[in-house]
Parts: sequence; structure tokens; C-alpha cells
Amino acid sequence: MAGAADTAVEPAPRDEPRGAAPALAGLSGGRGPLLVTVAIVAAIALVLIVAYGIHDVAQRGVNGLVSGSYFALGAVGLTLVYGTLRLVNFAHGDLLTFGAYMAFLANVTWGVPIVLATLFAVVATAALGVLSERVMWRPMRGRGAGMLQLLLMTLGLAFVIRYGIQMIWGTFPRRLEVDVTDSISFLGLRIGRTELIVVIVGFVVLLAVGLMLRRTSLGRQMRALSDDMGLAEVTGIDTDRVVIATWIFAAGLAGLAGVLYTAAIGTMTPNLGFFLLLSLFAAVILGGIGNAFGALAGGLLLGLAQEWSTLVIDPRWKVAVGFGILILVLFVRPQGLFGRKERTL
Amino acid sequence: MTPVFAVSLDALTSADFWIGVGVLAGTYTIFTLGLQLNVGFTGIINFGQAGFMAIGAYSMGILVVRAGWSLWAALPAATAIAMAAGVLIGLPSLRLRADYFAIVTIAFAEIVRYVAQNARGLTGGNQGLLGFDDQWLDVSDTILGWLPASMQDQFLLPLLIVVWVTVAILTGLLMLLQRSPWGRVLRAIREDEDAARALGKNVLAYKLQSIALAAALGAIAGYFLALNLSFLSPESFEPQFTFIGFTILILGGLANYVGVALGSLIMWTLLEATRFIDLPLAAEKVAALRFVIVGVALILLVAFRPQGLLGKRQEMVLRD
Amino acid sequence: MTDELLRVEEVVKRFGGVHAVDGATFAVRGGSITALIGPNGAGKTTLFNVVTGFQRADRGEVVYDGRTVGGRPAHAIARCGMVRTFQITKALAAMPVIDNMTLAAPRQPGEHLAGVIARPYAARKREKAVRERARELLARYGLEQKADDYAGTLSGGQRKLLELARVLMVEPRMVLLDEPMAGVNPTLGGKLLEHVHALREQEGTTFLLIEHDMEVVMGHSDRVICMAQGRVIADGEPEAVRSDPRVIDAYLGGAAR
Ligand SMILES: Nc1ncnc2c1ncn2[C@@H]1O[C@H](COP(=O)(O)OP(=O)(O)OP(=O)(O)O)[C@@H](O)[C@H]1O
Ligand SMILES: [Mg+2]
Repeated sequence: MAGAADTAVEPAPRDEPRGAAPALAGLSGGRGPLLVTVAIVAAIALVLIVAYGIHDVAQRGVNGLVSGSYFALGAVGLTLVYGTLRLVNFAHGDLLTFGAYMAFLANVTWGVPIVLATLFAVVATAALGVLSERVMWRPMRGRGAGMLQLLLMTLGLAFVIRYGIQMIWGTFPRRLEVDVTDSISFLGLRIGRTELIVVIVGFVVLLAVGLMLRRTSLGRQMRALSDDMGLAEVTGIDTDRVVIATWIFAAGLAGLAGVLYTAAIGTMTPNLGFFLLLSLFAAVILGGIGNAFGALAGGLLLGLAQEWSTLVIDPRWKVAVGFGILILVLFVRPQGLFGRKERTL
Repeated sequence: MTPVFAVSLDALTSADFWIGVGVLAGTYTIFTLGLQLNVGFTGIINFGQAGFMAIGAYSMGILVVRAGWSLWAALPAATAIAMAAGVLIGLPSLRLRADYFAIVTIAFAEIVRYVAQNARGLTGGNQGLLGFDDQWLDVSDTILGWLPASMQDQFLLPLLIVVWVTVAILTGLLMLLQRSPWGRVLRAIREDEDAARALGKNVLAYKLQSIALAAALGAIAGYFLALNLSFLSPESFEPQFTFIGFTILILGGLANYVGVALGSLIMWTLLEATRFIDLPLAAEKVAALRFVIVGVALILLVAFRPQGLLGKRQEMVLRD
Repeated sequence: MTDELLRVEEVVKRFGGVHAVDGATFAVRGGSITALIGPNGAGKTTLFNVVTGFQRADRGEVVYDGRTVGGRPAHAIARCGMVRTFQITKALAAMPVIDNMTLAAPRQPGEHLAGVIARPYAARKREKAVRERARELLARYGLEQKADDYAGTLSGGQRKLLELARVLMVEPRMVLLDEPMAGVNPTLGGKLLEHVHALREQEGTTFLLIEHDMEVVMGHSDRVICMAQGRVIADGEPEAVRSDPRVIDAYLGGAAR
């Protein structure tokens, strides 16, 4: 890399994990950071339990897992695109919005059942991701575009998606046909029926993503490419195929995250993805930029942090917690919880 | 059959239209001069200029309305606050690769908007903040008094004059700075940080100065926006306004201070002219159309004419 | 040794599993010309990076002029008079050659915002002196014709010369040159070496240079340090190092690989 600064943070090279370790042990920093993180989270939980009682902490923890699941789904795509293409995609949040409105189109306008509408949204968003690769990113890479050029183009694309949606559907909040009032009680904890489905779908998909990245050759190739595109090319990975797969993956998951977010919150507006983008970046940087497993963990941790923060501060400010974490991580550990520091010249 | 849309060209010949465009173009010239300093001359990607604009404008408004300061004392104080915010944001992120700074600044702008919306006690939230411009209106009346009688009904004319005088002064100062040894160090940093470092230049300190000055320029743009609207509300400072600035920047040409004013005039003429296209659409959808245009313009410019009108092509290729 | 200017002690620098520098120890005498040799990948450039603050050592210590360098930023080290060049030249391509030179000069009040505003006269005066010195140095390296061209238009060898000239603008006490002769034609290379000697005689400047050309190493250095696989394997008089079996081994081993 051309003269990166001495303190530049490189996405950590991923070790090939050995044995049948649990999915999260694939975090590249090894087990140490994972254990430290778990210990810190446990310590915070303990302090909160002592101060506010176990019920409140558990209830907000449940809420945190709900938001954590769509943060994680959104963040993993953002980080994978960064890792494989060195592209910070500022339009990623708007892919979530696009997914939500595609589900609205199918579910409400066309009257398709929600499950099929969700599938439609995932496919449509994945298609948009692939389209953007073919029409914008691949030609630009071919021309040797600089970082600033690419960043600005992602922003232009973000505008086109967001405000294109606003031109068609306006800013009026829209709903999917899901029941957001019905709720379930378990051990004294309340969770919305839809929220429960969101968490379950979210975690099943996250697990599948984790397994896919670790176990399948496509997943391994994605991570190899994420390490070094040039290297992957000389060692014979079909990069074009992997790049397309990455986009399908990243955009499809973003579409799903958008639908899950809307289902959990109740409404969608054209801004939803942009508002979420901040949290997605916080999750990505928390986990170590470019690190897929880190993004999954970062998303969940951020969800927990935001909800637990409402025990201490006005819930209005929980969005700011994401920003606080972002800044704190950059100060204390810029390579993220699970990244490894690399200095290059 | 009724036409789908009609364009009335009358508006384009009215003085109101051009004064309105002139004030906005001047305001955004100042705003984008800051981006030019950061992106064009230092090589740092500031995506949060709207946040600095908001911090400047709100600090000014709050100091005047809530703390009872004089406007003339509030302006320098608010500028200092915006600069301090720039340094605080820069300290953790400017040591890292350029894309980290882009991420942090865009997040920062969003948080500032969020605070403006939610800290109602200070900012008035969505109701907005009013009544900070009495002292300006006195000055404005004085300037109007100097003008010929035929122009006296153009109450925005004094603002137009002051904005463009400010643009001229700031552009001149920045060009002088750029020619100084200080500007030479910035250019070296933009080209190759490590080379600058090896020659004993404190790269982080220069980057922080660059971002602090850009924040000050953003704040000044914020004052003009506030005086133009007589009213501060979160919608006027949404993060996406930064990207109108970037479109202006690329349109005018990177690493060219004069191009900024040119780009801004073209951009705002186009954006304001869209108001007069009679589309059968709700207001929010017409507003959306403007941003779609910005998005498309940004993509096409960056892809096909990255050097803009006055820049050099190689300026666009910032190293990673 | 009392007159040592630079001491490297047990420095270790790893990249993942690669031990680029693996416990290197040596000292450089003030006013000497010391050559650092070793096969490709021996860790010479990495050692330079650590010594000049561009990378932080995982372990070990670097002492320059009696003070530890570890943890100090690169620009601060350069300001203490220890300045380096890069193996892959870093000419500032979009700046004129003369600006490359004047940029490097220290004590320019116009480089600070306060100085630009408050001391324009002092800045202009300094600038004038700096330009004069820059033109002098450029003339010495045959670059005076190129002074107003963009550095990007220089050839590879000319860039090497520009980088050396630029380093001298900093008024260094110690110069670390990473393969300064690579790609420079022999005549100019000879002049470059002459200049190195002249600087050492007149100003007492200390040189540590990485060089692959054995002729140059033998003919021009007072002392030779040989690295292989991150360690110092020989350190002494040029002749002694040349005939050291470990050195021959390292080079032959490197060639055989
Ligand atoms: N940033 C880096 N990341 C990973 N490995 C590195 C990095 N820099 C150097 N290395 C490795 O460290 C070892 C030493 O490299 P170094 O550049 O210091 O060698 P050198 O002695 O200067 O070689 P040459 O004579 O070819 O310039 C090499 O194996 C190299 O691959
Ligand atoms: Mg080397």
C-alpha cells in the first residue's frame, strides 16, 4: 500500500481457524480479545444489575438483541464490501431503506404475504448491489479511480436511492402488514411477537453467514480476497465471481436488515437507512473494519450498549451512544476489538 | 391534454430569483472553501462540513438568544467553538487512514443534527430558534439606506453584498495562505505524508489546523444561512448539505479556490431553477428531486469529469 | 564507545509471523560513514523505519545522541537531526523540484499560521536564504535545469538525487540513506559519494547507508554492518566483514534461494 502512515490501521489478516471452535472464535485477534470483550460486557452487566435490578437489565438486554440483530446484519455487508473492494460504501444504509420499501411494495401494494415479500426485498436489494457493481464500481476500478472518487460516488448513489424512494413514496411513514402490538411474556420479560421473529430470523441468518464464511470455499475465498485482492488474483481465486458473490451477500443482508428493522420498529421512512448508517459504522469499527466476524459481534454489542444506556440516560440519546463508542474505539483501539494492528510503510 | 410539466421562464428574469440564488451561492462558496482547503489542499476527506456549519450557527444563536450576548461577540465565540469541535473530531481520526476520517465526520454531522433536534431546551428542537438577528437587521437597514431608491425594496440585497465581500476576502486570504510556506507543507502532506514527516513536519498538527480552519469557514457559512432564514432549524443543517458542497467542489475543480465560487453559482442556479419546474408533485417530492439531481450530478461528474471546470485531472486521484 | 551517535539494542520488529528485525544490535560512531549490507529481505529497511520512528519496535531500544527514540514521532526525530531517505523515492511529484527543496528547510517562521500572519518579513527573508541554498545544492547534483519543473517529470535516478539533496536541506547531523545509488548513473553516483565524504569532513555529518554494491561499500565506508534474517551477523572493518565466512554464507545462501 502506497505509504500508509505509521499509525495506519490495516484490516487484520484473518487466520484460518482450526478445529471445531465456535463461530466467533474465528475473530482474527485470536481468543484473547474475545475473552476480554466477554469479560467487559459481563462486568458492565453486573454493575447494571446491582444498580437497576436484574429484571430491567434483562429486559433491555432483550431489546438490545433485537436491535443488535439488524445492526449485525447491516454491518457485516458493509464490512465485507470494505474488505474485498476497499470501498467504504456510504450508500449501504440506503440499501437497507431500499429493502424495506421493496418489502412494502410487495407486501402492501401487491398484497403478497410478508414472508414472500421479505424474500422479494432481499432478492431485489441483492440485484441492486450487483447492478451497482457492474455499472459503477467495476468500471471505476478498471480506470484506477482514487479513494475520493469512489467515496463520492457512493454518496451520489446514496442520494439517488434515498431521494428516489422519497419521490415515489414520499416521507409519510409506511407500515408493513405485521402485528407490532401482540407480545409474549417469558420469565417476566416482554418481547413483541414480531420482535421475537426478528431476533430469531436475525440470529439464524447470522449463524448461517458465520458458517458460510468459515466452512464454504466461497466464504474462504471472500475472506482471502478481503486480505489482498492482488494476491487472491495470482493465487487463482476467480475474483470477479467472488466480488459478485460479495455484493449479493452484502446487499441481500442489508435488504433483510431493512425489513427486520421496519418490522421491529413498526414504520419506515426514506431516511431510515441513513439514520442507521452511523450505528452500522460504529459496529464495523468496533469489530475491526474489514472483519466479518467482528462486524457481527460489533452489531450485537452495539445493540446491547444502546439499550443498556437507556438505564442511565434519557432514551432519546441512545443514538449518540453509537457515536460515543465510535470515537472511543478510535482513541483507544483503532483496529477495533478483534482487529490486529498492522503498520506499514 | 394538459402538459405534464411546464416551465415558466419569467422567474429567471426576476431580481428576487437572482438575489436569492446569489445569497445561497455565496454562502455555499464559503462553506465549500473549507472543503477545498481540506480535500483539495490537505488531502483529508471532510464529510462533516454541515456539522461544523450547524455548530457555528447554533452556538451563535444560543449565545445571543439564550445567553443574551451581543451578536458581534457571539460570532467570534461561535467560530472558536466550531474550530474546537474540528480539533476534537480530528484528534482520534486524523492519525488513521483517510477513510476513517470520512466516516467519523459524516457520523459527527449526523449527531450534531440529532442534538439540534433533541436538545430542545437549547436549540428549540424542531420549533427552531428565532430572534438572533436584530443587530444584523439594523446594519442591513443602514446598508439599504446607502443604495439607490430603486433597490430599496430588495431587503436581501445587503446580505448579498456582505456575503460576496466576505467570499472575496476569504478567497484572497486562502490563496495567500496557500502560497506561503505553510501552504507548501499542506501540499506536501497531500502528496505524501511520510515524505513530509521524514522532513520533520508535524503532519497531525497541520491536518488539525486545516480542519479547524475549515470548521471556521463552515461556521461563517452557517451565520449567513441563519441570517438569510432568520431562523435556525435542524432541517437547514442536515448532513446531506455537505454533499451539495462536494458537488460544487468537483464542479469548480479540486485544488482551485476560484473554481469554488464558479461551481457554487452554477449549482445554485440549477437547484433554485428546479423550483420553477411545475411538476404535478407534492413539495416533499420536488425537494427529493433536487437531491436526486445532486446525486446524479455528483456521480457523473466524478466518473466523467473529475477535474471539474477549472481543476487538473490528476488532482482527483488522492492516494489512499 | 564514547563517541557513538546511534545505538540499536536488541530491536525486534514482527509482521504477523515474519520476524523482519529479530534482535539487531549495533552502534554507529559520530562522523563515520557506516554501510549496512545484507541480502534482500534481511530487514535493513525495516530497521531504518524503526530507527526513524516510522514504525514502532516490538521490543528493544534505539538511542540517538544519548536519548531513547522509542515512541517519539517520526517528525520529532527528524527535527533532532536524524533524517532518512526512502528506498522507493518519495519525490513530491505534483510540486516543483525547487519546492521539494525549500519545503525541507527548518526554522521557516512562515510554516506556522502565526508566523505567516505576524512575521511575514522574517518568513520572506528566510525563504530567500533557503532558495539560495536549494539552488546551490541542486546545481551540485546536476538538477539546476530542472528546478522549476514538476518533480514528477524527473527520471528515477534524478529522483534519488533530489531526495538526497532534499535531506541535506534539513541540515542533518545524521543521514540514513536507503540504497541511494540504486539507478543512479556511475558518474553521478561517484559525485554523490564525493559529496558524502565532503559533508563528513566539513560538517562532521554521520552517514548510515544501505548499499548492495560491494565496490562502493568497500571503497567508501569506515565500517560495515551485515544483516541477515533480521540479525546482525557481522560488524567491523570493511575488509574483515567481506572475508567473514558468515557474510559470504548469507549472500550465497540468498543467491541460491
Ligand atoms: N509492512 C510489512 N508487512 C509485512 N511484512 C513486511 C513489511 N515490511 C517488511 N516486511 C517483511 O520483512 C522482511 C524484511 O523486509 P525489509 O524491507 O526490511 O528488507 P530489506 O533488507 O530492506 O530488503 P531489500 O534489500 O530487498 O530492500 C521481508 O521479509 C518483508 O517481506
Ligand atoms: Mg530495503
